[in-house]
Amino acid sequence: MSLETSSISFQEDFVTWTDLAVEEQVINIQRAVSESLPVSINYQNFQQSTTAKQIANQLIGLMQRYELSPGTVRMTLPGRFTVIKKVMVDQSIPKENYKELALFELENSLEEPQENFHVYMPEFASDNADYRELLVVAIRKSVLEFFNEISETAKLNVQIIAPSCFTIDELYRKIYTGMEGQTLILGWQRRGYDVIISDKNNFINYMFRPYNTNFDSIEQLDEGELLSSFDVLLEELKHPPVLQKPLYDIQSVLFYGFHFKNQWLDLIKAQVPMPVRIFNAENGSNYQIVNRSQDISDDQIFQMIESVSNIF
Amino acid sequence: MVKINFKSDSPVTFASEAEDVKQIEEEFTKKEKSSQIDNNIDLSFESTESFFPRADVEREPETKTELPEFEEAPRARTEERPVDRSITPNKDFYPGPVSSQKRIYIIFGAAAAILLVIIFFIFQFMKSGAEKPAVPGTESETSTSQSPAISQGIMPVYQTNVASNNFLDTQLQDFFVKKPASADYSLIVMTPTEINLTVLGDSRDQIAQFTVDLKKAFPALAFHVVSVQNKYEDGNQLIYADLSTPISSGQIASPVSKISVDIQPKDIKKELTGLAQKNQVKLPYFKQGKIIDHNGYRETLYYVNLNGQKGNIMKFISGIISAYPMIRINKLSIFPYNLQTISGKNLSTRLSLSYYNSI
Repeated sequence: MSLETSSISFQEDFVTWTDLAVEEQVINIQRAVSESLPVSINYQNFQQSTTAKQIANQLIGLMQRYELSPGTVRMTLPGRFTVIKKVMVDQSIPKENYKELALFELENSLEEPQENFHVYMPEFASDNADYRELLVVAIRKSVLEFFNEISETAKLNVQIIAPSCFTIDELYRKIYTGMEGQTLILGWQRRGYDVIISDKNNFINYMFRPYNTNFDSIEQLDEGELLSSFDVLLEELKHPPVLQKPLYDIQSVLFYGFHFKNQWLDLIKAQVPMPVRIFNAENGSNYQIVNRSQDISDDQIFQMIESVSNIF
Repeated sequence: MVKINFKSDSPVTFASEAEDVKQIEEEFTKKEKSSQIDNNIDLSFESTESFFPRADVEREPETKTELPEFEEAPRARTEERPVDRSITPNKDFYPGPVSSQKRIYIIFGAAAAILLVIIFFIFQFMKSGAEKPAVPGTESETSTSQSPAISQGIMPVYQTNVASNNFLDTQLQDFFVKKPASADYSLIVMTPTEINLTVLGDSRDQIAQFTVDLKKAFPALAFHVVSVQNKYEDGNQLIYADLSTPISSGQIASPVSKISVDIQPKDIKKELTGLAQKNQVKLPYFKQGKIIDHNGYRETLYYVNLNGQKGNIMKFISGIISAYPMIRINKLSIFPYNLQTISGKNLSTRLSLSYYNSI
């Protein structure tokens, strides 16, 4: 049985649209389009009434130019548009108290009153002998309304809106079934890295890290500065400067994202003593991603991974 | 797999909690209004009867000599309102010079009062001596109608509670007094087995310095940094660090050898609400958790949220410890009410408590 859907992936100032069809274990990219947004999605802009309309108009233009269908649409948002927190609960705490404990822990991470957020507790259980990990995800109500307004204005039939860190985590596990240990899945975005840490069983963590403290965009940095920023990030994850032991045990690295360039791979491989790959699914043992779009070449699939990931 | 769909998934709702909170807040508001009336009377400082909220005054005869809470209360109020030496002393408390005739009357009066007291004690002694074999240890039962019998088997639990609670209280006070200046607390979480601090600094160097200073200030605690996170605010980078230390049972003093327990409150919510009111702390959330039956006694879990000024919250916690040995603090979390760090006055506190009673 095949599934056909359109998947739109938003970044702060970028949008990717892919038309996808899944047949058995093959994900076919039928069409793939990427464009810069007419206006960045940030705290100031999304509160202006014109921003959603401008972005909706751009999507309408894309549909007309590339004959894309608004019929069944899935959408991803960057993980950093949400607040993601793991909450540890003692095994002795009754389940009926989980929600209130999670909310209490989350409250400390929110910069606004909790009533301004939708809070979700997706199914997630990471058990240890002494404690259980719960996952709490919060999104500003105004952010969700903003994307709903884009959908309504562009007349899209949106069925799923999900943070891309979770959809990518799921795609990783579907495709790379044989990977051992923890994998660093790194999305090269315009102003920093989407850092997803996963293993073969579970989502482990997500964070956003800018390329530098000035929040410079990737176009403002040369190759040396970018490779250096990657080194700093990896070093921070593997040997945190203040911690006595690292939080993660990363065994391999996967790259994706529109802004990554193929030629950087060999340079990084030369300086990182662990397997480093591009998220093109060429090594997938379970699912395969096949490019049938003339808009991108086969070795550019990694640029579309965010929108492809929302297929399951 | 983490599946989340903002389009169709229902967000977590806390309807029942919201109702509970509303109810408690309404109750609190009512009580606050009545306490404001009492406070107005208090301002005169001319009458010891109006010194306490009415509810406490009514209970006072039952527990006057046994419970330390009413001995603590006047001290607490005195701290809030420092003595102003420039004020003319009230004649009710500071009588002026008296005549020699009056002195004679006073001496005779005092002698008569002492005589009466001695006769009263002799009478009581003879009476109790006659009744002792028939009704042992009923002093606490006669002292209050609200206290069921307290079995001696639960006393070791109460003694352990007091030791554990005292340890947490002392540590908490020390954390505020001895805090290194290099960073500020954002969250303090204490349990009898572990203490976790979240601190906020401007740089990793500051956090490292704070850790060193903290180890110097608390040499008995083995703090180590367990996580560090960047936070960007208005373009500035801030660093959150979580520090943790285990607490071994040896660090908590031995169970207190002798404690006086005469009442076993039936309605702990009412008790703590009264204590909060007395210390000008808001108690917007109170929920009962699991009930666990042990051999001969019962443990009931409670979850309590408090909002208030730092000093008042500390008094509330000390109040629990001094007045309710049947309560053990399982977890105590303190964080700022609407700021990033605990440097401000207004704090929120969450307590996870166990209440033990005989069955």
